[in-house]
Amino acid sequence: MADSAPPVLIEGLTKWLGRGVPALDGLDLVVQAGQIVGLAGPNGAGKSVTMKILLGLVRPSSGRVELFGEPARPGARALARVGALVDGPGFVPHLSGIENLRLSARMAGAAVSKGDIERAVEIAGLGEALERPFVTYSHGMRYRLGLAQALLGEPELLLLDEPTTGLDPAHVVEIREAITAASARGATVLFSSHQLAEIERVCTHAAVMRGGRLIAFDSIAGLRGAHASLDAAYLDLVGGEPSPENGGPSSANRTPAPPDGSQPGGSIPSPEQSAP
Amino acid sequence: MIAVELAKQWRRPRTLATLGALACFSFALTFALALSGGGELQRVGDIPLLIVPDRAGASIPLIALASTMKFFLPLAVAIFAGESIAGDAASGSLRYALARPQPRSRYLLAKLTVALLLSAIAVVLVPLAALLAGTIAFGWHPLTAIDGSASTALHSAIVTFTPGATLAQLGIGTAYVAAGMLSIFAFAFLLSSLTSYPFAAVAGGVGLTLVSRVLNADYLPGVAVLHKWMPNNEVDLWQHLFQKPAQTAGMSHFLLLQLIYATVFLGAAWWWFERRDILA
Repeated sequence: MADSAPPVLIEGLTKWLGRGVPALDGLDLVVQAGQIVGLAGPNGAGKSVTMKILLGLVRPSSGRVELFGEPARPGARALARVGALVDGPGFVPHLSGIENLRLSARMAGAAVSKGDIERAVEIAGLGEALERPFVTYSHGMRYRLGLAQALLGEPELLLLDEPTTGLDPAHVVEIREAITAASARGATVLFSSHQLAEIERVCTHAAVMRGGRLIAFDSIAGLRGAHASLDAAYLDLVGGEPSPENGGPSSANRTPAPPDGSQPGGSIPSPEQSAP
Repeated sequence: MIAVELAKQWRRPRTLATLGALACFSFALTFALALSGGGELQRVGDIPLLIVPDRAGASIPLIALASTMKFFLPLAVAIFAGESIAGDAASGSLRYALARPQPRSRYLLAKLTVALLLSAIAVVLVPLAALLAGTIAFGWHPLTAIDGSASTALHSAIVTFTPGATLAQLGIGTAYVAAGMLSIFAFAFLLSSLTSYPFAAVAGGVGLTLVSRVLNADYLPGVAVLHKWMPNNEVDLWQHLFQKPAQTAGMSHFLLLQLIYATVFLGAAWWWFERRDILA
């Protein structure tokens, strides 16, 4: 494993989930160390599946996927360097918040110290509620605990799949601050969201997916370009066009449509062209 | 990982409720027999073995084990095995348990070990609670029984076991029943590795028990050829240990059958889970 290897490297990643259309269709994405990359795209674009493949939960049909230079597969050693919040938090319902965090720390082994748990408790910010069974938590409390779990042991790479979904503004701010703090200590973050304003505010870079492919990757400013906002740039890229699942063109004949009509990787920089 | 899994499962309300219900069954059985006076002959399971409960507290575990081995114990075992993996999938904690630098086989091994341990506790708990309650209610005496298979209309074949011999035979019988749950356990565990719905896995384990009971030569003579291959039908053979001399015919075949079923079902669970995409 090379330390100079990017935290996330994906080349030609394809995943068939048996629905006639690939969930991922030749995805290329490189996330360099220190970047906070916002992953945007319509529902069904393949954002969650990408995260799960990186975590070794889903096996790719073909393509190359690496974490810190090591193939991403079930049980990969590089997973010790990764924290995740994917598809919402998942805890043992009848145990308290603090018991769940301690169990997570025990499962992570020596990589997590008592101090790490105390820091996670601070991040969760649940006060006395930490002693209550997880099943009694509100949606926001569950997400805060999920984020605390993801940050246990100060991982070098954070994979956050829509971590602000359904949260009130106060919780969104807390999660934004936690991501920023993690980045400040050197962590790399891959963060999927439908909230483009959040991506614009938090991320250094944005990647846009559609139909299982990457159709744009650049710094926030670069992607926004001449548009007034990231929203406008995003709509230019994906807005209004039906996805293959909704009757759009199949992957065989689809041509990604960057704003200026050029091929992907033309006016919109490819991942490899982007610097941290 | 096994310690973590044990900590999770031991405090699960359904674990405590299942074990509590089994212990309560033994206590309630003893209470009911004590209320009825206890002086009447009680049949043990399906074989013609009759005992008088108030002559020995150690006789109560025989009745309790025979009463639970064909439904309540398979249900408990199906709960522990069926909820093991599917329960994590349903709560969403499965993906976090697997997104770690450990092979999936370690997770499976922890799940299997703890579910087996809880299932074994369930099987042992029934006779143990019955032994405690029975001894308190009826005292500690030699077990006297009437072996119907050796009796005639004019002569009752009375067999007697010292308390020590009763406990020894009961221990072997309990171990036999525990081993007899392996096929149902393994089937529910396989389903648990396939689905994100724990209820479906538990129901599958119970369903296998019911199918086994329905395809029983005693009820459907036409399926006699299947009888000895059903996973739960010959779990009652341990009762013949309380005849004199003890009868063990068919027991080794049944135990071998359990081993085959368990190997096939657990092997399939392992094969599939190592390859499964965790999408939920």
